[in-house]
Amino acid sequence: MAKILRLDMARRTFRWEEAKADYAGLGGRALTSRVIKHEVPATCHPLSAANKLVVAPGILTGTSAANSGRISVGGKSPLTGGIKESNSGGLLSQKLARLGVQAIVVEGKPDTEEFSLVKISKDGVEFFPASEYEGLGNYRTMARLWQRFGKGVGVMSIGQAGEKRLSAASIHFADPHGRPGRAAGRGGLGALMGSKKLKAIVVDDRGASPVALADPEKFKAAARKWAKYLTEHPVSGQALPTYGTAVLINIVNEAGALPTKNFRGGRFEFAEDISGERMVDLIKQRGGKTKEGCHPGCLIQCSQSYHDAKGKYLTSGFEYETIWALGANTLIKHLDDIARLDRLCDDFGLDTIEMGVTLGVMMEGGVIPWGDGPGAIKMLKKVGTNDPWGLILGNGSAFAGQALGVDRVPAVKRQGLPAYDPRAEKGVGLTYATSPMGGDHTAGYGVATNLLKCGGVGDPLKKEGNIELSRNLQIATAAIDSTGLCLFVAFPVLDNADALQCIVDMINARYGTKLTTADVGELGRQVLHDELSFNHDAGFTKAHDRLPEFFKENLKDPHNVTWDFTDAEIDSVLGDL
Amino acid sequence: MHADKRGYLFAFIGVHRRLKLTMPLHIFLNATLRHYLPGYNPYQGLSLEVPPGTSVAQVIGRLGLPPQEVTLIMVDGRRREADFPLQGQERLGLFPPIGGG
Repeated sequence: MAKILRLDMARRTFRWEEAKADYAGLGGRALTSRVIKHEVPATCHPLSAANKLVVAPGILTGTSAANSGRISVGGKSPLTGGIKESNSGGLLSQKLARLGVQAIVVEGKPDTEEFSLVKISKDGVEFFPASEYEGLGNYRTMARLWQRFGKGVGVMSIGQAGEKRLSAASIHFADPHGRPGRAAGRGGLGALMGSKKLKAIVVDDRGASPVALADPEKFKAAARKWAKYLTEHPVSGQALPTYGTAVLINIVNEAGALPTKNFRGGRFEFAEDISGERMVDLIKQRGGKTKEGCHPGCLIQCSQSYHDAKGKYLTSGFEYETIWALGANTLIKHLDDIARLDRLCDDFGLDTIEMGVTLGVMMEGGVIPWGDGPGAIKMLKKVGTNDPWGLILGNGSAFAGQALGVDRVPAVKRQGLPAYDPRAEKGVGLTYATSPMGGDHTAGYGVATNLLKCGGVGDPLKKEGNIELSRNLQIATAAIDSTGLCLFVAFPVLDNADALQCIVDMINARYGTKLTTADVGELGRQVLHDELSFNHDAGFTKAHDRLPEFFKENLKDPHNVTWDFTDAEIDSVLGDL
Repeated sequence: MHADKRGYLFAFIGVHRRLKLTMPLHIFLNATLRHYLPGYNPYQGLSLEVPPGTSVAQVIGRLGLPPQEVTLIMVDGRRREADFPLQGQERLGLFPPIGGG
């Protein structure tokens, strides 16, 4: 029976707890959001002792199901002030599941300034002082923790940004190489971890037994089918392993939805220079690796090792969203500059999307010239120092906009918008507006249907069909985020009804339940209900579900489109949930 | 301006003049489709003269691309199907199945 581990950061003690009825059978986002809804006062300051950091493997995590090793991290967001679930790969999730940990709930905060380190293994839970890691970035922190506790242990840690409790700080997870290229990036949860004075959690599952299966034979059969669905679908089986997620640069550019120069245009003149195709050429020339998984058992392998011109490792997890944010959005066109910025973000522990959007706001304010890669690198480096500019940048786009008197801030609920212009991809635009997470694409990825023809065919430029699309995808995503499955399984699942049934079969064989696919939809609705209800109590109203005014300007290049949903239409997306 | 882009502009102006100010179809290949045209220059794309009414499928045939691998077709930034009739001067983006996010 899985248990909940509660860490009391004020007293540096822990206790194990059997899951209460309200939490039974939940995992991933369903569990993090439920715990926050039930236990965190919605009006508390996100950095106060009352807030909690919740870390939960999904309900399939720890099994042999392919791509089931994702982790959900939740809390009241220091960036948005609303509820947050941020999802990551890495080694830690599967190890927690094998140790029988349904969730870690980090509570309270100490009066002292010293950071702690917590180690979880089959022998128990230990607190250590973390003074020797204070001020270190994630790269060195993870390397030292592997040295100390053994190569291959799971690590989640914060860098300097989290220690300083900056609102754009992320939490990083060691990948199979011990690198911090995997992040619970969005929403400033690194600042929440920093407020708890928790530098890192190490999870060592050596000696743990495999997760129990109610029906091992049925599970094995379903898991075999599952792997086949993933490898046979052209997106999860071929496109993502070959080019990584950056393969999207060219098609989103072609569609006129690649936000350029702080959402002024939909096409970037130098898109090819920052494309997935270009990235793969450079990786091959320089002896890097074009495909890597973010956790053992990943069949999709969309990560990579990107090397610099001298052939030395520079970064990994070099994603489409990152390359867009730090590239087209800022007009920086040199992929090596973008890779350096990505590495700095991983090291300091900063959300790459928020940093790209914030650098765009700083360029808008005239602090850095447009397209100035070295200037952006110099500015980002200040986050690792005590320079006030680093504080402005590290607190995200809305904060920087206020600091600089800039009104062109592409953010919803203070979270910077990702890599699709909402005027030219209206489906994801509705998700930006209405997701309880704030401006977020993964929460309801209309792009899959509207641009990539997965799960049907939609029109990104028209309003028709996009309200239902955003709503249905937000429900489905909330469910998938609760399973521990990588969200990219959505490509085969959207195209193949058998694949969804297969997920249900795996859950049933794991737990001895009799769930149906309808229950999966119900789970997604419940998750959203918890989240919307928390946000309501935190003071969010319909007025927060709006895109910035400037999206009513026409996006001229190339489609001459605008954001034309009425308030009532926007409110109908999740209205009755 | 990127050296390749400058080269492209000259090449494009050359074509432009020869065709007496008729713009040709401007084609961009992406991802694995590039492997079918060795030497394809992604900064330049391809210029192809086709009569009005030519379908995207016919263009795919003329380029020698395997039709089943071209699943995403963008004509002037809008997604179209293979039977879409071209006027002859559009920007055409061709893609195999791709995804990410």
